[in-house]
Amino acid sequence: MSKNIWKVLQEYDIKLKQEQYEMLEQETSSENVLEVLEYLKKELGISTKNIEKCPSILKQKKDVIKNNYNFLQDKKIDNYSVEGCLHILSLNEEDLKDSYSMAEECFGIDAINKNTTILRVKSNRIRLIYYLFGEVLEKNVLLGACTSSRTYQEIDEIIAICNYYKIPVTTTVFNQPPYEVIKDIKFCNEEEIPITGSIFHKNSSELRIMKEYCQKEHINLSPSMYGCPLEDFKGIVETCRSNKIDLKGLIFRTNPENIEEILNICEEYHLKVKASMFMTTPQEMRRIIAICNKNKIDIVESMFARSATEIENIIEFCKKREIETIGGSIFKQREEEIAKIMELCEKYNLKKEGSIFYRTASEIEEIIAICDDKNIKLENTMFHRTPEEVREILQLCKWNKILPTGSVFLKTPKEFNMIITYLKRHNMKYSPTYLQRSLEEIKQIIKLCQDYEVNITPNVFNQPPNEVNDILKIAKEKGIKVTGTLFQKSASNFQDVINYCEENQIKICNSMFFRTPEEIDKILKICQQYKVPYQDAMFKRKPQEVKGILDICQDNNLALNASVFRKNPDAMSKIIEVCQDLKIEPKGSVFKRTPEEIRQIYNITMKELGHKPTNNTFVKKPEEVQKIIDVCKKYNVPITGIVFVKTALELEDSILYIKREFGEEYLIPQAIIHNKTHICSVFAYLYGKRKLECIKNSTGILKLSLEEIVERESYLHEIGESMVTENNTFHPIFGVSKKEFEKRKEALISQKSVGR
Amino acid sequence: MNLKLEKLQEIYGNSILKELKDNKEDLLDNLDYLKNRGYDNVIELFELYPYSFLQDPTLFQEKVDELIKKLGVEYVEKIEENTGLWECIENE
Repeated sequence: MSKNIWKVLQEYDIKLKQEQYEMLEQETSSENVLEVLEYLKKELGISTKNIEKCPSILKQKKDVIKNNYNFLQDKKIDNYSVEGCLHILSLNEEDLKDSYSMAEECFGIDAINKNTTILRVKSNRIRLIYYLFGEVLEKNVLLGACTSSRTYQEIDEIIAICNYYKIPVTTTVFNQPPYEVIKDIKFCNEEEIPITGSIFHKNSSELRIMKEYCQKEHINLSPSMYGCPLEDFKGIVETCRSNKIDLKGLIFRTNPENIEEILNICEEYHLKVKASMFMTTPQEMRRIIAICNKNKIDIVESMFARSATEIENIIEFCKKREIETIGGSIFKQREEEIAKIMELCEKYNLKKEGSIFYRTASEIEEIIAICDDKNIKLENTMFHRTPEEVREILQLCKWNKILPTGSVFLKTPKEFNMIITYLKRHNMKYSPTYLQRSLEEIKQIIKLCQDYEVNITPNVFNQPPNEVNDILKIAKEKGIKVTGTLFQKSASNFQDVINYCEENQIKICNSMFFRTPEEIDKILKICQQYKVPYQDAMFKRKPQEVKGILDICQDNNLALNASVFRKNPDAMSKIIEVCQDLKIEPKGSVFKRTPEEIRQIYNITMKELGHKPTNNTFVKKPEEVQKIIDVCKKYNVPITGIVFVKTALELEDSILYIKREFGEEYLIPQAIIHNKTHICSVFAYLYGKRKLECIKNSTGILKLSLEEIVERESYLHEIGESMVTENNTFHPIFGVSKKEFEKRKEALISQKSVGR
Repeated sequence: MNLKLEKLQEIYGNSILKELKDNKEDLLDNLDYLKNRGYDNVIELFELYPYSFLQDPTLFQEKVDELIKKLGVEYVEKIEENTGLWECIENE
């Protein structure tokens, strides 16, 4: 082996097998290897991992590689596609151009980008296969046929075989010659193995060996295993077993030596073993870890699907864009895609973090378009799903009258549908908290609640079944009433809190179960320090936050009630600041809003109503406040504080009904806040009695149900008095409390019986 | 506490249930406050004027104190005779 070639490779940290070194030694020179490596690494940014996968590129001349690369750049074949298929760059220049031309004509540029290997296929072959089979095969399968080593005759035979046995023609079926395809199918039928595309990675003898081995070792044969070379298969099984790793999925994409080494690296760096680690090589894994350590970034699972170079580029990219928190999801995408996603985030004012990176830029745009089209608020959780899944889920929500809030997108459409169908069948009202659990878990939890004879509150689904069981058991033993707050934390925390309260003779507040005993202790000490009694709402905040809030209340002379604990101290300070700026009292519903919302609401009421907002106005968000004002103005309804207790939609519903049936004169704020159905029954009744007119002077009657109104009218009839007074208001009997009314009824009955 | 939620739903629509859930602490605080001021029949008053009890407790207490001051020591009897007097708590 030439020391020079080895040295050159070492400088670039390229690790090859012995036979690969020997090939280079025979077919090229160290100067050429150096020139090519410099070009690939420094000018093209090709990762070490991909060069290691395709060492034959180091044999080619740099000029040829460069010309080929420039050609592909002109044709907009993305760098990453080339990165994963370096063989293309080492092709003869004319051959590459011909292949490209033919592939573009037959399949289009997107298909080439997805399957760059097609460029290695001679243009004649592409043309002929397309001509012969273009009518019968889907494009991606045609591509597979082109890149396979099957002759045209064989491809024809394979298609016929698949049709005969009624199995789909997939790209992998061309891995085997026709007689092996038949044997594979027959073997699977005999052994009752489901026929998936991946079966055809193996011929029938190989499948038999695999099956027998799996039977002997009591392993379930799964599609992910078929792609694994036989010589590695046993080794992988043994290695996984001795290291207690699950035998599934990505583990079969690697080899036993890699698995061992990856496990050693995990031990060395105290990393939890994750399936995605087996997608990479140990060398690449070490490079990734080094980059993360250098940039002080946590190692996350999604990184191992990327090369070290890509990770480094992504981190650099994030630094340039001043993205402070680089979460794991960003590594699900390549750098170019991240750049496009960032542009979209800026365009649509989306958060540049989290689930947005689960989707490509075009998928994100499609999801945004779906929301626009359906006039639905974009939720971050939508990016957990493909656009098609988002559509399906929205349709399910529409059919089932479910508000499409964030949590609905955490399940696949199938799972979501199963859960809501189950709830409907069992007459259970849907709540988003159900979606934290699988259907199986939901069933188990419901059974537990039934066994313990407790109401099923949505919060019970915060915990898995085993925790729910333990909590219910403890609650029963201790005689604690079961409410939703019991399920905020684990059963062991629940027990610890109870023990703490018992030991310290403290009355248990429901919200204490949001906290650990140590936190409760700190809060109680803070209350002692500030000489204030503890209250339930405090325990929804962490101890430090409680202290902060008490300080703010003291400094601003605010009463200590539940509303001050709605926000953390920072948020509270900002709210008080805004209130001082706008000269609004910092109390009440103001704490339900963010500082920006307070400002917006202030601006809206000043502009529309000419005065500052009243406290009721802060009950709703700015957009809703604007809508309510618009509705009231549209129908000339006086805008008083009470109208803000309802939504604009509800108000408009009632307004339109009253206007249509009874006239605009009855559009009184105190009337329109009632449910349309109730208005309908009471108004119709009063109209029938020719007493509706009085509603304008006394709306209090609307507080009673129709039955109560009829009952009281009947009483008035008994005592010979009219429903309506001289002042055209309803008789005071409609304003007495039920208790008082019952007294009067009894007095009347007694009077009558005495009279007899 | 036995609240007749069906009746509230009938009169005010389904949204009242969400309001009750979202403002449960305020509701309980306010009910307690009124009870501690000597008004035993709080539940019925709540069923007549639910939105008044969903207000922030500071405001609720201020308004209740003012009403009691205006009506005098017999405020309980006066409200029982005319629950419309409570309307000012709901209004602004």
